[in-house]
Amino acid sequence: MKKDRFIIKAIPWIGLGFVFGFVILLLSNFNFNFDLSTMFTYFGYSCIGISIISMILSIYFMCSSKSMINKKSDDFDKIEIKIDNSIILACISFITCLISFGIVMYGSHFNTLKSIFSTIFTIWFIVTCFASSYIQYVCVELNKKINPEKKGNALDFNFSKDFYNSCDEAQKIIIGEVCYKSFMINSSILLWTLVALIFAASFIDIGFFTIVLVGLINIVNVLVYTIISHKLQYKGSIIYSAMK
Amino acid sequence: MLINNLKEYRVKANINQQDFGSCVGVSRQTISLIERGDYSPSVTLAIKIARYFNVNVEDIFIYKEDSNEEG
Repeated sequence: MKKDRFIIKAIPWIGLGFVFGFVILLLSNFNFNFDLSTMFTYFGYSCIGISIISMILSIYFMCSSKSMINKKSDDFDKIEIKIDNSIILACISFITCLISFGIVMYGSHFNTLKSIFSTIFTIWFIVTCFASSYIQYVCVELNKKINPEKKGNALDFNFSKDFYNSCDEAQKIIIGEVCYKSFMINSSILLWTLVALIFAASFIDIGFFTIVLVGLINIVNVLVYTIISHKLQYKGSIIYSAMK
Repeated sequence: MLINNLKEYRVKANINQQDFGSCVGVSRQTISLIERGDYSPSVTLAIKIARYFNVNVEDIFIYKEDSNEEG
């Protein structure tokens, strides 16, 4: 229920991101038309709008949860929701920034973007890289304050492994279910993307590189799932090793 | 389905979820999930919980036949 409310709250902000991106588009005096490169550039502007707003919201949630912990609030569920929101929004900010940066590279290459905007986008990309890493680090540290059993440093390469190992049986089951759903969604998206790309290749020149790349990712996705599943079932691996 | 009296036992023992979780080797969230009936613990954890309160597992965790399973 709380997650539903968060999504309802997030939709207007994402819409605001698009509006923000559109305003930047108008300010840039960009000649708006409906060719492919222009649409890509518009999408890039919109993504950076989402990225900036997500980052601001992420910092807000991070500060809010920090303040609750400092006030020694015992409403741990609320603090955890705020920490989760902060991490989710930092990830959205980083990924949308990556998309917009990729489109900027495309725009710079085909001269459809003013150099001043290329510079602004590049600076924002660097800022987002550092800011999202810092937010994730702070959120993990806050999480460790209210859940002292949690281990791992967000800036460490082994963080995911250390954090996973410090989870108990229920949390590992939740991670397992999340991974399964994530795998199913990714498989469907990759398959339909591949079909759409093959269909699109009949009409526009998209090259074979994208089709090969999506196909390879799909193969890796399925292989990793089946190999690990096989190992866990037949090689005597201990499931729930944390509960000995 | 598995229902439980964990919250009653924990409140009676005057211990919060965080401390109780530490005692039985799980997180506060897992204790919260069990108390809400959203998670059925493993046998190992159920025994650990029962031993903490010096009672049998069946005193805390009660298995009830689901009407859907009978049909």
